[in-house]
Amino acid sequence: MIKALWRNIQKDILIEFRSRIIVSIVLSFSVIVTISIGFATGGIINSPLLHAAILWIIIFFSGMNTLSHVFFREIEESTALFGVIHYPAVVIYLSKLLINCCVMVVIAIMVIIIYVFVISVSVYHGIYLIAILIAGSLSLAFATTVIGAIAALAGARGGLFTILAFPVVLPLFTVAIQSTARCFEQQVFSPLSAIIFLLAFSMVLGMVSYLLFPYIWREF
Amino acid sequence: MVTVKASNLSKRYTRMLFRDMSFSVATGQSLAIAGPNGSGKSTLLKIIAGVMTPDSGNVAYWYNDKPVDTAYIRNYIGFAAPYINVYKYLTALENITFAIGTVDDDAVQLLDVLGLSPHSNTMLMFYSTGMIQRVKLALAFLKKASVLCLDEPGSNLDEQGKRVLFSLLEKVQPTTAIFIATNDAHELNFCKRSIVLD
Repeated sequence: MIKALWRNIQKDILIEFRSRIIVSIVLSFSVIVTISIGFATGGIINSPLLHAAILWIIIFFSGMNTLSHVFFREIEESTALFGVIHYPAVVIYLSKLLINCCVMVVIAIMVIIIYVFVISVSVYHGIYLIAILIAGSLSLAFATTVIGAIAALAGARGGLFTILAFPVVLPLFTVAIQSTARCFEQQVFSPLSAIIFLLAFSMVLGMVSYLLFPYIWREF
Repeated sequence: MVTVKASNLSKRYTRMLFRDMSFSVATGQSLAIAGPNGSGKSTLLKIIAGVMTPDSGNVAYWYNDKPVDTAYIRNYIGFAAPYINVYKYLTALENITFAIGTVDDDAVQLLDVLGLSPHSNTMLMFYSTGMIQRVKLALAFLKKASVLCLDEPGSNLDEQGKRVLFSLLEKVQPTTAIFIATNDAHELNFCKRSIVLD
């Protein structure tokens, strides 16, 4: 199982490294959008809640561009059946999930660094902010990986994935924005309940997706 | 010893492709599936390989007279088809490592027989369609599966490639149950039995 998982991850990393599709999407979307918003609104926004909302909107849409890509590529290049013949569906799901988790954490860290640098927002609880960003991005990956597979099988690139993902990510989005906003305020707070909620949310969706995936990723 | 038993298979898309189809193919036997375009050859092959469900009926795998759980059928299948693409951003060796787990002496030898050795470290995006077909065949044979499902295996192959294909088929025939979906006369003649879909 571990070897099979590693071979799938290795394959996806090699393909992404050589095709550079995710890298270019991440660079062209998250970096440019963050810098554009930064220059357009620099110094105007004073509300921590608004900063948090903008930050998560950038992370969400950057993620929407990349999270479904791993499945769309398999469908568009007709390689999905090649994987299914050689590996159980759960191995394919777990490998894509792990890749999406890594991609989302990298996006979140990259966006916050650019955001803080360009907009000069004051961060009073840096460690908490990083913890919330990591928990939130993991939740996004857990919540949307299986939806990416459904959207890819439906053959609807773009719109359908975002629409299907929106109601699922709404609860985590609300919690992530509110707790991120507290990191931009001076008052002392504990992010533990928010982080526990985000991780628990990930676990529940991850388990459901794990059980459902073999029935979804089946016929091509 | 593997036996593939298909019972009362039916499948319908916009029209009925086949109805109540039953057959049994064991190790050492081969079955050709012929018929015009759109008659359901590939669909039947996918159902046999367990990657598509029939509308009714079922395909059961028996290994040494014991039933095989449907979740493990893929362990018994080698499958090459025009609609199963290999990864074009990987080399032939990397595709083999992904699918089989390792590149052993058999893999090196087979790549040599198929004329792919000089290109084994080249990404498949630089291969011709004939070379990609050879990689697909290599992957199907290297799995050393008990059941071989081949959909138009000779497509895009030159005469030399077809000769290699038939020599490989003859080599694995005694230990393998072979299904070939084709309309090619040579491939039809290779199989001892055939089904014609209409």
